[in-house]
Amino acid sequence: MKRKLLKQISRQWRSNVWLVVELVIILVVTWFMVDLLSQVYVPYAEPTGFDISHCYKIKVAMSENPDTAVNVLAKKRELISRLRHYPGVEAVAVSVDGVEPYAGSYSSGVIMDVTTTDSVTYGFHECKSMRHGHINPDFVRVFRISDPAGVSPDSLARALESGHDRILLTVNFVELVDTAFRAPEPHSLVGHRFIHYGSSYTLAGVVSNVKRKDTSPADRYAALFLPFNENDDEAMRYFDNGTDVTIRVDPGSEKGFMERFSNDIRTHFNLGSIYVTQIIPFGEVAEASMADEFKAARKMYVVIGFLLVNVFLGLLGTFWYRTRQRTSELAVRMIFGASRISLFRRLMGEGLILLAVAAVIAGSLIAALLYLEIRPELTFASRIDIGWIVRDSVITFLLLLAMIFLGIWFPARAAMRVSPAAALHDE
Amino acid sequence: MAMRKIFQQIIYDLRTQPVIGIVSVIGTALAILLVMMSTIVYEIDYAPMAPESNRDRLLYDPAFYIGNDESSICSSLSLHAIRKLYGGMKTPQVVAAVSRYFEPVDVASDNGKPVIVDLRRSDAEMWKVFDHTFLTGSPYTAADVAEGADVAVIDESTARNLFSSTDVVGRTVMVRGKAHRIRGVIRDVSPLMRLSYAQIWLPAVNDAGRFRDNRHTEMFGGYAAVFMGETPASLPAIREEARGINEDYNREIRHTGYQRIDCEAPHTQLAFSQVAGANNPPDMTSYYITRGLLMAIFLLVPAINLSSMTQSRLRRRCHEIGVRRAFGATRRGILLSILRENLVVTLAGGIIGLILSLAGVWLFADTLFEVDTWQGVSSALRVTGEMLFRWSTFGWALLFCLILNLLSAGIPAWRASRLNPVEAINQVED
Repeated sequence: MKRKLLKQISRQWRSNVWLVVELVIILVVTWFMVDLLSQVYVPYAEPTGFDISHCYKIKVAMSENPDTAVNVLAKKRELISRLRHYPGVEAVAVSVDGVEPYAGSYSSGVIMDVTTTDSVTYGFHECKSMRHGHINPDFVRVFRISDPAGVSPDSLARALESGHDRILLTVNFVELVDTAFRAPEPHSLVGHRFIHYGSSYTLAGVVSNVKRKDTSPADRYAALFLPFNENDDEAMRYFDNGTDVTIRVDPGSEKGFMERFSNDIRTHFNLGSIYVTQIIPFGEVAEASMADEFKAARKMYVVIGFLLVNVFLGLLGTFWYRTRQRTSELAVRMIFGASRISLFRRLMGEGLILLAVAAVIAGSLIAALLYLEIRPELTFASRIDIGWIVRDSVITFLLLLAMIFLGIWFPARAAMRVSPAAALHDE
Repeated sequence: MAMRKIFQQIIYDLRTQPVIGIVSVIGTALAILLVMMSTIVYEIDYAPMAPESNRDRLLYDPAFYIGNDESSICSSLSLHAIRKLYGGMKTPQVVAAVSRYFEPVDVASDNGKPVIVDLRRSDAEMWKVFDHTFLTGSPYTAADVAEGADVAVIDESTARNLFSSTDVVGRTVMVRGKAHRIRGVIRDVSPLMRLSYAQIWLPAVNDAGRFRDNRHTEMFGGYAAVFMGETPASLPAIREEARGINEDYNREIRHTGYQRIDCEAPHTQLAFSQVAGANNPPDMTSYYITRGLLMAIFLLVPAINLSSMTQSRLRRRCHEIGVRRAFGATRRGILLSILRENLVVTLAGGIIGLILSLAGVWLFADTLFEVDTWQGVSSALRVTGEMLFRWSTFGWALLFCLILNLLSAGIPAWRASRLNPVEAINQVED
């Protein structure tokens, strides 16, 4: 049976070569498209390290009308206080330099452990993408940032409140630099003093990795949270149009909160030189921030869909012609007792052998490209490993298999419907 | 062969092998659909279209990137920087300063509810570089910019949103709480227009000094410089002059230890569309590779399919071709007649594909385009008729059909034309 199948394939070698060439191209391109999709969805499934449910982004604007510095400062504090005491609000996060979830900037710098005088330069090129920025203690309560050892957001916030120089690091930042800091375990660094850009800080806690957004690979983003002190006049200068303000609302009073708040924007939250312009559910902020990744993903679906439809059309056309040509052969087989299923299996066998040949060639091509480090990446992709390669390959192979099945199913069914007597009569 | 004969042949083929005929047309339509959708998407970045009708004679310097041995810092240019560097240029017709990124801002009528719209600032020259359509009123002037007048130009939908009318010249709009007099109302611009989109335009203000810890802080701000030449041919001279100016600037600041780092500015429209961030030159190699690969995949994969379809259509006609050869038809004649016949099928699929691609771009604009912004865009992402279809679009579609035809019928037609008449008439197959 196998030998006959191979003989059959070699008999139609010319159109089979074209099919294999097509399958190879499609396998290689689909593999890289699946890989790009994995780059979006694999990180998406990993924990983010923050929680944005019941959170609302508050957009604050500074009036263009002139006002005295003393007045402006007082009004900034008044606005934060009004937000904090608004019915239903649990906590108000204030941060600068874009360290809020879904905000985006990267930073670089040098941080030194005073106790051991070990220092590390972090930044985009040296290690992973680093973010540092200033947060108030409530930031931890609003975004529910926690410690992998089980320390609650509230006790972390209290640790930050216990002094004006308290900082937090994410676990992966410490892991990254543990050779430099010679720490046996991240938490052993808590309490150490650090120097960062000329200021001295105390490490108040090591927190779970905080991703930039759901689609960022956790292993590539690390964060350093520096203090933002609302009582410090100099720090409050940075409370400006670009400042990130987010509130967490008590789930019990969330019903109707948006409307209530929106109605109060122009009265209660308008202090003249500073005022609130918008309240946005944080889910919308998240969606907007990841829009480009999902747009890219949708484009890849289109390309994959296009390629698969082509596999289908190619096989449909080719096998349609073949079964037509071989109608009498198939009819003779049926007369001599071949069942419809066994004939279908025979045609499918041809398709599978072609796919297997194409898969071997495509696999070597993909391996060569990966070896040469030619791999399209979306911003920062996770490092590729064997598990990743196997998963992408299995998905790609199954997609092609499904198309081959469909592409052969239709002509095969049509061919088997022919009554043997009629087919032979034609002859 | 006469047109009528070609159609007769096609109809005969369709009747005897309907599946193969339909699959050929669908395959062609699919190829043209995707190749045209991506072409339309790519062209929106650089083809001249209102209000950026002058794109082919524009150059851009969007960023200022400066560094010494230890550190570097980058941002857009300040108004001061644009004037200092490019104020005295000889070769360009116009040099304009335009906000590099738009920014969301709250605006309101006198006593109305505030709405968030996208703001850009510019000098008066911007109105010469970009051809915004004024529904009422006029642009702000160089004098307005010089004295920092509180005037504004708003777009049609913002005018309707705030005042329920476009006849609002002279009325007051509050921008971040400050009163501005409306000078004019322009037609809405798509957010896909990289520097000419804004819902409200205000006169440029000097914004120098973004970073407190850098020596050349007066050069950093939020603007891009746009140069317009008299014709596309004047761009090389402008580019040369601008680059000369920057070499002089680097000589001037050498004693400070800093140098402006070359990002290959000023850029043409196409190069500017590929600029990401303020400290990278545009990556044109990867642009051409991506675009080329995409076109190749979209054309080549269907072509392989179509080629085998054509092959099976022709196999049935071996006999006919043999007879024609025996009666003196040349190989060239056979080849051309097959290509011509196939072109009709390709064009039929091509027209379907082109129509579907226009509909596709229009329907899926949200997925296909990305707006150049850090903060989210306040107005809907729309594509205009001109962005979708220009005569060049039709030209591209025709070109791709010809390529596809050659790819899909070339080899089978060539093989058919080399058939030995005797064997062909005897119907000997491979």
